[in-house]
Amino acid sequence: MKTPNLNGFCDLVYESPNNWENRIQKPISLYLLWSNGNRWLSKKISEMNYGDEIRLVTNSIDEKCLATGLALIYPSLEPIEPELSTLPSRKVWYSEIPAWRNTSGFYNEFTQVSYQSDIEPLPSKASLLTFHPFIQFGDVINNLLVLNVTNDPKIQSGKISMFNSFDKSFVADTLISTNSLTTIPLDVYSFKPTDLPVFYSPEIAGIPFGLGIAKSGKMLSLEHTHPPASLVLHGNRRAIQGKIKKSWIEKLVKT
Amino acid sequence: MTDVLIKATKIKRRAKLLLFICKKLTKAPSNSSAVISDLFPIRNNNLWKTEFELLNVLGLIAGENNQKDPYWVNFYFYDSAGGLLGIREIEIKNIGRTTIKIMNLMDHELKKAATFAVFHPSILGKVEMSGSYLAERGYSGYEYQNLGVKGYVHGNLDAVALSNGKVEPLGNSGFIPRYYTVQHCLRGPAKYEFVFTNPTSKTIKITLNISLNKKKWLAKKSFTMNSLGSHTFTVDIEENEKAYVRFKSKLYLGRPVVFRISNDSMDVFHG
Repeated sequence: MKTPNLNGFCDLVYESPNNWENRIQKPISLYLLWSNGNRWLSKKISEMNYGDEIRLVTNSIDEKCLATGLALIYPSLEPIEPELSTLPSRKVWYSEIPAWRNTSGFYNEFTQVSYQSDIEPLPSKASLLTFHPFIQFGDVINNLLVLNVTNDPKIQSGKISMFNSFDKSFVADTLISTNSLTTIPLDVYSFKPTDLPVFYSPEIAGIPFGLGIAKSGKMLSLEHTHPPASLVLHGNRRAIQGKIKKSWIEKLVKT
Repeated sequence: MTDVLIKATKIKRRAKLLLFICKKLTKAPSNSSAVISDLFPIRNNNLWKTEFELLNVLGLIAGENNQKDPYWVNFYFYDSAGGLLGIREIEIKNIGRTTIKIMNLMDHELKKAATFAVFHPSILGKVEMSGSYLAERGYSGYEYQNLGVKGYVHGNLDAVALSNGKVEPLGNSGFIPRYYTVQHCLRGPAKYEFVFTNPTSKTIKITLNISLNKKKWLAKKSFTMNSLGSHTFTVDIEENEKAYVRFKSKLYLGRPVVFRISNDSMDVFHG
């Protein structure tokens, strides 16, 4: 992932997170995948044996591969074609309890911030509604990052709207894109410490992150916001999520 | 032949699942009016401050964040041995978001608090919940050395329910110990602090294994945590050194919150 003024990293460890699921130990090839808007392009960047670790950083990756702010790393057991019409479907590093993940994040000359990352492709057409409770104040720069990956390599833009959840007042519209990491500066909207912004995208789903950067550079903060389903546990969470989204969207879009 | 292999793989996986995860990761509360919370670690001393972003969760579920009626939330504070130290009732003001400075609540009997849970009012009868329970999953914000910017992390485990006035641990554990390998290569110079909470009703033993080359794991110190207790395990990594850690326990999901402290800054994330 690449965002302005920070470098991105991805730390990969070839070791499953538990000792009973998917004990794969075969050598794998690491491929970099990125979309040019029409096709997924791939390039082999390294190999890993069981037990290896590797750190990949955005400054060592060709800028054209990171034009959308995002390139994917895929561990593969077999060679991959240089151009693909869809993302590879085989899950090589895969477990469920817990999910097999690695660490991605950003760094600068002083510090780094980590996020336990992995991403499954999202539906090409889906909506996003999320509340952002960690905008910070003082000598800090606040950005919203929206990460989207779909099987379809098309890069399409769609509207994301910001509202104040308290009075449901409209704040602004901006754009997010598929197969991209979109960086949205938030400080221009002058949110207050008591505000809880809500973001709604009718056509593009994504994983939203709050990114805080100390103006001194000495501290970075990165965490994903929750989908509405995370406000509840057990039962039919999907049904509740649907109701929550419907209820908020009806009120926000009418306002 | 491929079909036979796929079928055999599926049977093998199901057998392993039964052996290692024979129940759900977490139990549903025993009462339909219950509310759920994670257990949030507290870091509170001359180096650290902990804050909590308190939201009107009931209102967010109901589609209305303008809360005209009084809305009280209970913070339950626990010591590292899992003992309940005390409760503080906080009124959610009619604003979008309230940042709670945990230090300001930790007076009198709460001075040794190590974790807290946040219980909202029951939602039963107010919103049709399709068998779900209102849950407080966070976020906690941690500030190190007055850097002016907090590192945020959401709750780690759906740990406890407040059910008919009683706190009920929701985490499950198995019969066979299993490993959780932290999905992160430790890089020096840094101090790593792994914070565990025990969401089960049982005492849990955790053994740290550490490796400098991934081929040879060294069993190191073990510790036990009472039900709803917590423990912080510290690992120092020297400059140019790398290490891996894994934790052996009967916890279904022995996932710690990780604090990485380096170069007078810090990073907090799920391991």
